[in-house]
Amino acid sequence: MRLSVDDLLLIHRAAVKDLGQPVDEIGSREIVRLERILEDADFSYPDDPVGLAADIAVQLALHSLFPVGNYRTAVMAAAVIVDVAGCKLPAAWDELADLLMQYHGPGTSPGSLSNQVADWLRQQGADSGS
Amino acid sequence: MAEMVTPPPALGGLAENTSPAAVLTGRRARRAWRVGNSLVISLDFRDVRRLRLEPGDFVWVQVTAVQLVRRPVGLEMSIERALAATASALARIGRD
Repeated sequence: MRLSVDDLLLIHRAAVKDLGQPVDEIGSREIVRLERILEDADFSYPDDPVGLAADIAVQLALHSLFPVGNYRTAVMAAAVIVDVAGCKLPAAWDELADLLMQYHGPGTSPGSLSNQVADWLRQQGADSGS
Repeated sequence: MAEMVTPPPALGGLAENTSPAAVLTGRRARRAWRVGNSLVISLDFRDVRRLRLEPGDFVWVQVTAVQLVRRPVGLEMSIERALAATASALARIGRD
């Protein structure tokens, strides 16, 4: 499933809507980085929406491309990708938020974190139909 | 309130250079709805069924007079469901 940068910006706006402040535009450098994140994830997980969701969520969380709401956007993007793919939407998203926010770099590679997130999604049943 | 309009001519040209799912959607698009500033093509629930669109298919949405963007079928609905499902997590995250 191929998400566009425009789709991701739509998800970001929804994720920060309740913060009560205008959504800042992001720069061309960040747009290019978002395109790269989406392309790399699509290349790595062409037929695996759970792997795709996990990879994109981790990359969004780690790269802080938005002025606010990067973790919010990461969690929302994972949920949207799983839902659009017709998979079961997990219930306990707090756990994913903790998993992403507790990552501090040393000892854990982004790839390892992505695998942890994918494992969590699968444990929650996101690899089955809704 | 949605207003029925004719799909833009640009749809055909764009669809010729896109994925099979998008070509299918473009060729079969018979109706469109203007909602605010957007021209929404075959995004109605009934059309999703009528056109046999499935998750993974795409529709074209005209966001400006000259710009069409490709959207996964049901993206807006998925965003609403995701917002509801992740509300507690988003509150826990705060502004981060």
